[in-house]
Amino acid sequence: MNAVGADYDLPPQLHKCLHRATRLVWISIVFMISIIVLMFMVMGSSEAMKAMWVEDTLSLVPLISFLIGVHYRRKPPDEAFPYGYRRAVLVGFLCGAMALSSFGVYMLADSLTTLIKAEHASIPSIEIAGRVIWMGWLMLAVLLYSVIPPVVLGRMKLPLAAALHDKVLHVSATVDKGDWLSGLAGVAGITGIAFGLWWADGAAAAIISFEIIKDGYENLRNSIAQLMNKRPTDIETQQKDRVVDEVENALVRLDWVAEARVRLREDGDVISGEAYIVPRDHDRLIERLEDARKVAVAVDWRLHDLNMVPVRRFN
Amino acid sequence: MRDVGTVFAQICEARTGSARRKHRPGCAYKSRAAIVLTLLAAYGCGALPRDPEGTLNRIEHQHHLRIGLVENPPWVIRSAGEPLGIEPQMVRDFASSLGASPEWHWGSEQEHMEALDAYELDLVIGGIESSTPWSKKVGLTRPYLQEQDAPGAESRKKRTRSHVIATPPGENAWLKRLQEFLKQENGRTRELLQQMGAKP
Repeated sequence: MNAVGADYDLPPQLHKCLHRATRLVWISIVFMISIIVLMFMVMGSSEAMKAMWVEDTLSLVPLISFLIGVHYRRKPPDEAFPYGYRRAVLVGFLCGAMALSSFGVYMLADSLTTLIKAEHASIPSIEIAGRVIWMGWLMLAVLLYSVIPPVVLGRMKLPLAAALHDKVLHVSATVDKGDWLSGLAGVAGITGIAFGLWWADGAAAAIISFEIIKDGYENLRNSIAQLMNKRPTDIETQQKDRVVDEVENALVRLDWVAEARVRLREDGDVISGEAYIVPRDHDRLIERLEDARKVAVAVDWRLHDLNMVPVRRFN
Repeated sequence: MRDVGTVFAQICEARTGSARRKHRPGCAYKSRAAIVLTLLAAYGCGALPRDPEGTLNRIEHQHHLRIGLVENPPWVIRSAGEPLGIEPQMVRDFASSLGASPEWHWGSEQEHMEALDAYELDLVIGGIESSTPWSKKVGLTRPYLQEQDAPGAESRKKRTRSHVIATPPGENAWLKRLQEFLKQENGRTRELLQQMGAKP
């Protein structure tokens, strides 16, 4: 027989949150795609617009990772994958973070090259309704459009990410919230070109590339930490999650427990791991360990698949 | 002398303070207001965009226009005297609309594009198409004319040729002025074409 892990389901009150988050993510994807298409249509030879386009395209990565996570969350563990499929999202996230960082580095090199070679971006005009309109104005309009929806959606996603303890969603929300900074740089770049400052374009692109690299680095660090079974961290502060100490305290409070030590890791939103317990005596040990597991899991809704390991003593 | 530790603590305090400020909601709104104001200011100035190297300004003040010609009939035809062809005629009209006199320079595309990149010419004509590999180096107008390749016996696929005029890189006011002229003169361009016997 194989020891296949138990299936896990969110507590009922969080189902609504997950549903709302999924809907928000779909709305974000629709907005992002419209932004990406518009941006591509007007970007021309402006470096700043190119950088913004790359940034907006890459902001799809956490959104899509989240949806992959939602899909695999439903899939119960089986014989081939006895620990379940929750880590699928981490793999996707790691690849996305790699892409994000490398694109950022590429864009930075690209924009610095145009600055050093003093390349002036030519922006032509197009005819709209019988009038000749400089494409730079269209770029500014698209940039403004590209900033507002992500900022609003990012703000809406943050509390849901905290409630669901979903790191991917949290990254998506913070990336979106930070998007206005790049947008501002892009607007400054195009406005600079309008005023005849050719270097404004490359400088803005360099700033945006920095933002991309920063996001990429943040994502990389996050996904690598989770893949390496880092102890649970608080989603906002990135500090040690209280849950580790709380489980330990709950176990020590049991009268038959002399000592307890807990080792936990995060699998997406779920927390698993081992609790090592030194019992005072061996009386009814199996029943007591089963009780201990119930007590420990009750500490937090995220706890799942906790193993109770009785030991004689700690060295 | 102040204690180094205190100074360091103060710097750290200032750092975290500014980091916190970044997340205050009011800030985002202020910056958005700044964006809108900049935009309005930009629209208010009719004189935008401007040329980084001041091409349009110089032509309006010095009244002469330096044109690079690449022989390519029927677009640019070499003759003993003044250049002939569709594009020299267009450019002559453009120069007179600016009150400037044209100064013609014959040469190869390579020479002229390099001169354009160095701001030594103001325009280059010679049946240049929008697919030119020089498009990354110099400014190009939007196509002023599109023509279909004659369906010949060759195996080559039928394709659209989009004719453009090249300008120095990044001279956006100059490029815009030229495009405005091309739009105005659209009808006349077709007339010229028919005179020259080419089929659009």
